[in-house]
Amino acid sequence: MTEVKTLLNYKGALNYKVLNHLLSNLNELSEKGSLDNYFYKKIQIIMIELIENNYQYLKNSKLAKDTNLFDSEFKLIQTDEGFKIFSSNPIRVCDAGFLKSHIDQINKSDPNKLRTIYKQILTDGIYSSKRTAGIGLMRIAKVAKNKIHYTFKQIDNNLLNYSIEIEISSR
Amino acid sequence: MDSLFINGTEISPKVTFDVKKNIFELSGISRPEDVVAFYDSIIFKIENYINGILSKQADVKDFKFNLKFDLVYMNSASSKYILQILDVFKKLMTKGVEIIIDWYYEDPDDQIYEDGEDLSDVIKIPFNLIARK
Repeated sequence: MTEVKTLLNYKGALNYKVLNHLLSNLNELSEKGSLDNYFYKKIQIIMIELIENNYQYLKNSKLAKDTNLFDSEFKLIQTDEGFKIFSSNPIRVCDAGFLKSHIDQINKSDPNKLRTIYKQILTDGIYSSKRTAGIGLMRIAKVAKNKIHYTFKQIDNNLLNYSIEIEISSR
Repeated sequence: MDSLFINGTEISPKVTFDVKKNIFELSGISRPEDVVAFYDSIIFKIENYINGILSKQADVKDFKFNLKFDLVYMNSASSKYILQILDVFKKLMTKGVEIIIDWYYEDPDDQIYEDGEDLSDVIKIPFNLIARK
């Protein structure tokens, strides 16, 4: 997969205003004809789930306000086969274990198994105390129909830089 | 009890809970910034209404409720609260009330179509999946 063009590139604080701004830029790209409706819908879902997910981890680690030190990053790249989304942001070291095993479980599941697990998590979580359903990353994999590539790089003893890359191929 | 009407925004859905016509509708985009605050008050209102019906009416079998979900976009966090709404209406179903759920979509390849199938499976109530005109 060869990178052709970077369509969206953001580095800085991450919050809902930024997400809305990026979605509005994505909409402009769609209106200009830079991406068709098939990709637009998929990229929109992945962007929302990814940025909301990352923002939750920032909020949990109380880093959301301290973004000058630890910038988040988001990129939408056009490739010769489709599109690629990249995001990175700091997380607490203690959050990495769950994320790693969760993504590994997603990556080793075929689409049918992924959907079964997705529905089971929804069933178990209807009245859980968590604010969210806990299915954001699974939804990303379902929509992209590709594996989620991730890395964790040490920032200091408490923080890691968590990066995700996911490809969205043509139909 | 009064009906509930909430206007939609760029990030939150239009909500109609009409207790005279026995209609609940959710339409537009559902990705509110504070999903708990948005949905909790709606669920509380529906739950109160349904508990009231169940406590006052000995026989609710002639009762019928129409639920319409015409969402263009729904984030994963919203799905948890939509399931809670459906679960509250399910209480009526178990008492013999007819609950009709219409779930609209634009294209069968869209995630919102699959969301309808998944939520129907999870809550164990059949949905009418309807192509939006």
